Amino acid sequence: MTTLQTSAPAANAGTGVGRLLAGIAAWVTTSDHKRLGRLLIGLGLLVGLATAVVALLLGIERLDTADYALPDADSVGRLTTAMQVGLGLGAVAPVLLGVAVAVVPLQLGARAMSMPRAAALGFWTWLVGLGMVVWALVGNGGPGGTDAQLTDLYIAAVGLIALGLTLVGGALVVTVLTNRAPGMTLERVPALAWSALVGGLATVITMPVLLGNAVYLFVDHRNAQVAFGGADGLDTWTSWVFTQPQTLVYAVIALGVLADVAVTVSRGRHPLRSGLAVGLGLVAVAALAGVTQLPHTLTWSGDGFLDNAGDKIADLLPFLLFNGLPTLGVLVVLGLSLLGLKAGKPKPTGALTFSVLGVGMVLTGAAGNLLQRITDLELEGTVFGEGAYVYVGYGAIMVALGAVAHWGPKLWGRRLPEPPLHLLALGAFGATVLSSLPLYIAGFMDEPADLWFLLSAIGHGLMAAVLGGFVLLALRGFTAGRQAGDDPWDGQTLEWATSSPPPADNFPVMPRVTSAEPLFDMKPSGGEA
Amino acid sequence: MTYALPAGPQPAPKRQVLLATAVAVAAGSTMFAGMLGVWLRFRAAAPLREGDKRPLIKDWLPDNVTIPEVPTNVMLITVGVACVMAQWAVYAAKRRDRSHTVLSLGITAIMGLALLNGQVFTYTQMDIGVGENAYGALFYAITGTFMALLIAGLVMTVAAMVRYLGGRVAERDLIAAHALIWYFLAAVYTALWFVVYVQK
Repeated sequence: MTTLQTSAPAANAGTGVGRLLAGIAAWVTTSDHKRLGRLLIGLGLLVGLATAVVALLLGIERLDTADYALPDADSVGRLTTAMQVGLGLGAVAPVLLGVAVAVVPLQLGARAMSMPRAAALGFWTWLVGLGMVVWALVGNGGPGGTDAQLTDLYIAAVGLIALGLTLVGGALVVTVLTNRAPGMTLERVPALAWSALVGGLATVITMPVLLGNAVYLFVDHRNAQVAFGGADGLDTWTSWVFTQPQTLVYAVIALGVLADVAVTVSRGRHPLRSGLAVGLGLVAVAALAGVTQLPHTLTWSGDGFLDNAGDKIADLLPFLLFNGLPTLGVLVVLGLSLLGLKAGKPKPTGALTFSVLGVGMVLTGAAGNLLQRITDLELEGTVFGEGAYVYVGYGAIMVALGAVAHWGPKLWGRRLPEPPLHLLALGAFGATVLSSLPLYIAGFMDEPADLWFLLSAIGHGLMAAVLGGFVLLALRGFTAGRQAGDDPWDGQTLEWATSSPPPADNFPVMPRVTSAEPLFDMKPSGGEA
Repeated sequence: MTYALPAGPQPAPKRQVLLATAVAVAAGSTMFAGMLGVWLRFRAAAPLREGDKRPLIKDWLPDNVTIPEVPTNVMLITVGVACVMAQWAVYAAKRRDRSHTVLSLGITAIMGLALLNGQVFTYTQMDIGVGENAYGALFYAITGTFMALLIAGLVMTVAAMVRYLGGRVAERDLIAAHALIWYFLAAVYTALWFVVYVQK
């Protein structure tokens, strides 16, 4: 049974409107992984930009709750929902999956992606679901919404988004497992491909749980509205998707990006490839926490150390397993990537700056989650959790921007200028800290001052500006920038062995792989800087 | 420059359809496990039935509703038979026995239709409204999801049969994937039968 599409796209014929329509049709009906990946990246970044603007509005709303700047009081709830859905399911997950869809088949030496039509269906399902979410929220549907029909629409939309992301993640998993070049064992796949396998699997086992919840919620809300609390109860049954450790599932691929970018710009070999693989796997343990739909908190009750020791241990084990292990995984990947940089002679590219700072933000968010789950600190139900969510979300988006800067030359054939990239990376770092850290501080306070929300709002505004700036830079750079060449970073993995941009079937001949760094084996320097 | 890597041999087929089906089955399993978990959570939260001699029974199933045990038990047997037929198709396809493959796929499809019929019959026997109470909403949601999965399995059976009849006898992967789907459906229905129809 044919599951690969290797045919070249039909050449555009005619001129004017016909050519435009043919071009649009080619994109709409595409199952080419490079196009699908770029669609996911492009639309995901635009959703990320819109989400930052929504978060800015939310921050302004919080400054003075007695005098709403927006038409009605319900807008705070809807803006919060829009920010949660937009950041996690609208931006982080699709952008990082898009990076993997576009790049991983090239890294594997594959001529195409496995199950490309399933991936395309997943993209369109996700997009339709996202549009429905916007429609529902604008019309006062969604959690706490007063319009019952639009709330039904919101629930259906969340189900569609879950289904779409599952399809894309599943196609990635099948690609990595079945579509590798001869000689490329699983031990030899690049870090990004490994993270795509791990992240794809984590998506495949967690998103269907959300889909099942959506089925329950839809049937109940459309009929009885007694089991799940109607519109007001939606958050209770779906909030695990927008809190940690589930958010780390979306960010797994970001860690693979850092690991690959770090080793490429340092022009060395991964010092501890197996450790890196284990680290990525540890982060994916978060998926197990996601499917339980429980926060796994730690209550350290009792005056003495051994008071209620049995209860403490019973709390401690799941707390460490579901919250501690994923955080440790992030730390391992960051540490090994920095070790790789130290071992080589890294070129400080914009992509590297984005990736290192971004994963640092993800780690800060994961550490915040650990604190939040200790009930004695009384952080549950405060804005501390939102701070952790934004840390992970914006951090992962920063890494995604780094991935676009790193692999963009391969996909578009042109490079982005480095100085503005560094500037944007520092801006994104400042924006992430500014939007999240004040929420951490406010979480510890009984009555947080407006100052913290003001700072957070400024941070979101700065992030919107950074994302807008990056999109403009990418539009200009990838259409009229400097030619990249086939191997602009002196890379070690297969994607740099083909032309930029790659032909329809990626590789003219199926390459044979003999190590984890097949290009280094061919270069006179042997890959050592 | 573009590096001229040494050309490798044409990679061996890696059973993509079977693996993709396994991934889909994993996704379906977590979805259904999550739904059963929510069902059990609701059931556990229901108060004990007052004056009942069997205190383990929760006040969850409405008084006026009786689970029709015969059709649900027959459905359990039917889904088991469907698995045997699907495996027979794998066995026959391996031996390139076209007539037996198509026959077994056809019987699998009939078993699938019987399951659909059994589920609809159960609905009519129970006579419970989807909007009457929490039990009704959850019952129709979880059994409706099973029916949707069942229809997906039936579509795969028909697709496998049509392709096989069309001469694609070398596509043993598809037949094996089809059997995997039916094993999955059998596991799902067994769990559903025990939690919803036996434990109630």
